[in-house]
Amino acid sequence: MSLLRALRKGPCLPHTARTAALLLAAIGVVPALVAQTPQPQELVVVRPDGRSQLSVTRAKSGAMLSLADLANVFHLTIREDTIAGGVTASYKDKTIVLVPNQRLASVQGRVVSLSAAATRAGNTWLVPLDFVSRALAPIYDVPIELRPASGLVIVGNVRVPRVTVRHEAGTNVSQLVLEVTPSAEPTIALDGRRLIVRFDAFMIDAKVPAIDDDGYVQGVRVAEPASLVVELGRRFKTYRASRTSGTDTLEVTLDLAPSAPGTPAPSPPGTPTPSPFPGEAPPLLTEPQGVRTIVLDPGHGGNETGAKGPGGTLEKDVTLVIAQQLKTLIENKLGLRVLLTRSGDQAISLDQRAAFANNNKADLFLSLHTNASVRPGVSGAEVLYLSLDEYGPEAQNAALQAADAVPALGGGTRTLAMVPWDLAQAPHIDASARLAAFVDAALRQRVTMSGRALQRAPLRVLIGANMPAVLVEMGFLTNADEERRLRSKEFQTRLVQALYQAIERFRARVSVGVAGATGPTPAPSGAPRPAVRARGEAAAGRLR
Amino acid sequence: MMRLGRPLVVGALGVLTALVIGWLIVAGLSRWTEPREQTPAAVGGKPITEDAERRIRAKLFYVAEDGQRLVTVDREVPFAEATADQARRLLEAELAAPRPPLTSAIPAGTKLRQVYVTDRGEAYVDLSSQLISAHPGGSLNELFTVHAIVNVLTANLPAITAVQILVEGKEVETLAGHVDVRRPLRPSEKTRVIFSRKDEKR
Repeated sequence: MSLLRALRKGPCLPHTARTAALLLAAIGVVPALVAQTPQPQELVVVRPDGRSQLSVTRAKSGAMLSLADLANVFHLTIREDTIAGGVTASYKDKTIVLVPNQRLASVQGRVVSLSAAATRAGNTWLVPLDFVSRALAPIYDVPIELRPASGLVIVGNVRVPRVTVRHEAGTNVSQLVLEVTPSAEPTIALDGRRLIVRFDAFMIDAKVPAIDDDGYVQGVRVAEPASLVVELGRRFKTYRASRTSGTDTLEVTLDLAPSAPGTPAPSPPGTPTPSPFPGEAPPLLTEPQGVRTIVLDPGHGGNETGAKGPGGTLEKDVTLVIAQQLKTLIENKLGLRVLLTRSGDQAISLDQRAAFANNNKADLFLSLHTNASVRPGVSGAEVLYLSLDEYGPEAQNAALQAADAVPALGGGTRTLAMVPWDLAQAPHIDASARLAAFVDAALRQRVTMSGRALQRAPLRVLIGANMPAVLVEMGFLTNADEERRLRSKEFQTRLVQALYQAIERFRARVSVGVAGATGPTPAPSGAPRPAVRARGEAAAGRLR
Repeated sequence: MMRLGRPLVVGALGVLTALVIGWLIVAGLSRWTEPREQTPAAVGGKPITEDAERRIRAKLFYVAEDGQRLVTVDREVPFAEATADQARRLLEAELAAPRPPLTSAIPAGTKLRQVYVTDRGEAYVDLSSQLISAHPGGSLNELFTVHAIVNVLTANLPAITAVQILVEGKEVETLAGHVDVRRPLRPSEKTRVIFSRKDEKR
């Protein structure tokens, strides 16, 4: 508090810092720099255990972040000092002091300049983007890297290489050059009319130009996780990949050609003889093995009606309609086995739902719900997966034990831990987190997300599921507008499309993993429980 | 004997009546004064007679105006010596309806039945059936309900590390079909409260 007052008074500031800040502000260097970089709609915070979003608010002074959101993501404690009129953000025992209307922050007593002043907005504070790099990063216990142009905040030791894509359209051959900095090993797989390039990284920060459709390449897009998907045109028949490594850069060249599979594609003149990836023939994708059975769980049912909208819509009805539509779509388009935990309006216990999925050896479990809030204004979809934090160390140990069962690099033995039935989800949490990220990404393209889009919670229906599992809250029935939307065919179709796409992408990822790997050591007999893990999670784990 | 017996019986009855009246007065008085027994009996040798009930400053948890998080509000809550008694005072304050715009995360009408605290620092909070019957559903609401109950104890009482919710004296699976409350839950770092209002008066 005294520090705050001292800051406010001004003269107590270290003279050099103050002069520098004033100078910077006066010549407008900082605002100009910020104005030049494209301002993202939201920042994606990437950390080893998952990712989250920070929405960016546009203010006169530039792109701003809500301090409340930052506190949530970075575990900060925010205290407002009503007397001095400032706000402090502390992390562990370290503190940042912000003073309204001053482009300064005191970070552990050191004054740093910010591109804009902290301002109050409703019941939160807005801070400029560079608060993350200039104020938060110095006090955090793991490195934080802000990439404003890519809309990324990288927290901790996470590999997020930059990937630049160049496309040389041609008639006999079409070339795609992927420049990866710092280098990350790619795995390439052909999946029907798509070529999937998966990098050995947590995610990629990719720049994809507008693609000139030359009959070989129709488009290139970024996909989860850390992948580029090349949509192939009608002229494409085969491809060849080559690589050139620099000190910190890897260049991957993909030559897409019209000749029949088996015949090497002609190298374009001027390029050195490509050193193809192990094996001359392109690594064709084998039959997908990752996801075969999907269990959809329409939430609630019978006298357990779930949430209720102001117009009388019941959660149990909405969830069943969506589940039935989704089942039809997946069966028709992917040809997978899709089972529902209930086909009618009956009450089923949460244990039975998970047991149903386990007994049917499901590879993926999706529990469908609609949300409710005591605040009728709250709306938007949310995706949840299991958190074990609330259960205390015993449960977490069970999860750790299971993590030890991951095959060691270089092959060798593989110990399979027995996981208590009650905590069957523990070894799948990583995979569930990835599934949740797919669902979040797919929903985000089609429907509004809530402010808490991706969450973890100790959810009863998920904890017993022995497979990647998420719970989707498709919208708030307590919001009159959203209730109307949830009843409409059009919105339901959007939800079904999004969930379908998420499943399709998750499945593709698991499939690429199986194709690109040498295959996990089979689980010893007598340890049947992690079977799903051996198929899905272990494969996905290797792709990290 | 008869002549001597009557005054004896009358005397015994009189003594009994006096005892009963005396007990009633004492019991009644103690009931009146019970809350004040929580306050230290004397300061500097002089008994405290005024409304100087000892209080602690506690954080209570409510649904924020934007409905996206719980906010803490600092309130004064009666002090109690024993952890379980203090837990009871905190929960009673948490269950009371807050002033708008704050909204309680716990369904209206929910009553506190009992609080137990184990040696391991696990608190068992027994609440009335309204916690389930009056719950509006939705995972967000349910998470807020559970976190408000878990947090009000763990945030204010360092001796309590985990909280299990019971309903009408029994273990329950969930309150509204989502959050697993079959065992003591710890406060989660991920759902921590991120904005606090200061110095709000009761």
